[in-house]
Amino acid sequence: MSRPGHRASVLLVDDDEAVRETVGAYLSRAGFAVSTAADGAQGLLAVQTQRPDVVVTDVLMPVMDGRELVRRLRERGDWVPVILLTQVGEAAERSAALDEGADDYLNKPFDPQELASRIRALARRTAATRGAPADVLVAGPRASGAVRLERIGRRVFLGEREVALTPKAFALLEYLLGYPEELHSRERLLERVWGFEIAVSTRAVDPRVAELGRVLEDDPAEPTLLKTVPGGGYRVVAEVRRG
Amino acid sequence: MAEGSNTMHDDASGTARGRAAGAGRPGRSWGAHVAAVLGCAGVAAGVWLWLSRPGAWVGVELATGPAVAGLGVVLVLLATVGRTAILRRRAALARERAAALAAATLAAEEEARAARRRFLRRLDHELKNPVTALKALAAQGAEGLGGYRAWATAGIQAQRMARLVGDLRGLAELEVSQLDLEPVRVDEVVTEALDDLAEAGHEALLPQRDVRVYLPVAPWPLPEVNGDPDLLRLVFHNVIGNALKYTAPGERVEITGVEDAQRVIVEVADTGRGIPEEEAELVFEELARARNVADLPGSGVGLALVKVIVQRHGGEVSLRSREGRGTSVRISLPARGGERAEPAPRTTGDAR
Repeated sequence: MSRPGHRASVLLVDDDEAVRETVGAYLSRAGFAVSTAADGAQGLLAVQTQRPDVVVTDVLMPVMDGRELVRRLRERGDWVPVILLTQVGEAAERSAALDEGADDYLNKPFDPQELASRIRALARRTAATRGAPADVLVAGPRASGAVRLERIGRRVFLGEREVALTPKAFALLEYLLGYPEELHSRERLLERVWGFEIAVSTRAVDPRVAELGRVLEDDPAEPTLLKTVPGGGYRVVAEVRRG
Repeated sequence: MAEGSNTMHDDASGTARGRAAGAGRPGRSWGAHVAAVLGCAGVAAGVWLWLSRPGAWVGVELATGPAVAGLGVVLVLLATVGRTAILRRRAALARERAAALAAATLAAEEEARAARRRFLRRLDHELKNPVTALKALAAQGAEGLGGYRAWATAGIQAQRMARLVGDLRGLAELEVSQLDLEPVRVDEVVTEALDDLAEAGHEALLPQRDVRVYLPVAPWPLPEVNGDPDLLRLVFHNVIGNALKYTAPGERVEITGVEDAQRVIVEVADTGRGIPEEEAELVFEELARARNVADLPGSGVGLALVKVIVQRHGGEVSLRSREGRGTSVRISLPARGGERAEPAPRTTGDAR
C-alpha cells in the first residue's frame, strides 16, 4: 500500500545470485525496500515474517518453484500481489498463471524499469481490490447495456443477450477489463495480449478494438466502454466491478 | 494442419514403417491356389475313376483313371513349386524394402543431427561477440576504467542478446501455439504488409525500388484462405521486406498472386543479389543468413518464421535464386473453397 512517505517493500525471489544482486540493487535505487530469497521455500517463509507489499518471484527454482509458492500463499488466504518472472508464452499459459493466483507476469529478459513500474502499479492496489482473480467482470452500467465477461465459460453478455467475439477480441476484452484505470498503448497490448516477441505490427490491435466497439455497441463519438486516446492507446472508461 | 497442437515434425517415416510391416506378410498368389485345387480335384477324380472300374462306363479306358490322377499329381507339384518361389520372392522384396526404410530413417536422423549442429554453431556465433564485448568491458571496469560510454555499450550487448532470446522464443512458441483461424483475403494481407513496410523504417527503401504488384481482380479475386491474419501478414512483411533489403536502388521487386487448383500462390521476386546456390535450402533454418549478406543487418529468424507459419497453415514455401541475378520466394496456401463469406465472429466457448 502506498501511503505518502512509505517505501513500498518488495521481496525478490530468484535462485540466480546475479539476478538477485543486480535487480535487487536496481529496485533499491528506484525507491523500494528490497529483501531477497533464493528459492520458493525461503520465499514463503519471508512472506510470513516480513509481510512485503509486493512479491516478485522467478518460476523455475529448486526446492519450490514460483507457481507452487503462489499456490501455497493463496491456499492460506494470503493475497499479497505477486509478479511472476517467467517465460510465459501463449495466451493459454498466461491465463493459467493468472488463474493460479499471480497478479502479473514479466518475461525474462526484461527492462528493470518495466519491473519497477509494474511493482508500483501493484503496490497501489488497496486491500479492498486484492483477492482471487474475478471469474466475472462487469463493465457498466451503460446506455447500450452492461458488459458482462465470464472468464470460466469464456462468454460475453451485452445486457441480457450473449454476444459472439473472436478469440483474440475476447482475450483483449478480458485484459482491458482487468486493468480498467490504465492507458494501454498498442505496443503494450500487442505484447500482453498477442504475446509475440516477434515484430507483428500494431495494425493487429485496431481491428479487434473495432470489433469490440461494434459488438458491444460502443458509440465511437461518445464511447461508454472503451475510449481511444489519440497517440496514446486505449482506456476502459466504464466502471468495472468484479463479480 | 492449421490446428492447435500440430507439430512440425515429419511423420512420413512413421507411415512408411507401417507399410513395410504389411509388406512382410505373404500376399495372395491365386494362380498357384487354383492350380493346387485343380490338381487335387484331378487326383481325386482319377482315383475315383480307377476305383470305379468294375462299373466303368462304356468307352472309358482303363488308363484314364491313373492318367488323370497322374496329371493331378503333376499340377499339385507345380503349384507347390510355384507358390514357394512366389513366397521367397515376396520375402526378398520385403527385406529390401525394410532395408531401404531403415537407410532412409537413418539418413533423416543424421540430417536432423546435422541441422542441429549447424544451428548450435550459428547460436555460438551470435553469442560470442556480445559476450566477448562484455568480458572486455568488465575487465576495464575492474580496473576502474570505462565510464558512461562503457556502460552504454554493455547495455547494447545485453539488448542484442535479449533480442536473440526473444526471437528464438517466438519461433518456438509459434510451432505449437493455438491458431485463431478465420477467412483471410491474401490480397488484402499482402497490401497491408506493403503499407506497414512503407511506414515503419523502410521509407527510404520502398520509393527507391521498382515495386510491381499483380493481384488478380479478373475474372475474380484470389479465394480466401483459412488462417490467422496477423501471422500471414507477418509472413509477407518478412518476405517482401527481404526483397526490399537485398536489392539495390532502382532494382525490381515483383509480387504476383495466382489461384491454381484450390491453392493461392503468391510469389515475391526480386532482381537483387541472390543467394549462393549451396545455401538456398539452408536460409530457412533458424538464425541462418547467407554468407553474402554480412554487410546488412538481419536476425536470421525472418525466413524461419515464414516457414513455420506457412506450414502451420497447411501451405508450402520454397525459393529459387541465382547469385547476382535475383531471388523468388513462392508461398502456396490451400484455398478455403466456396464463395467469399463475410468473416463471422465465432463464440469463444470452445476456443481451446
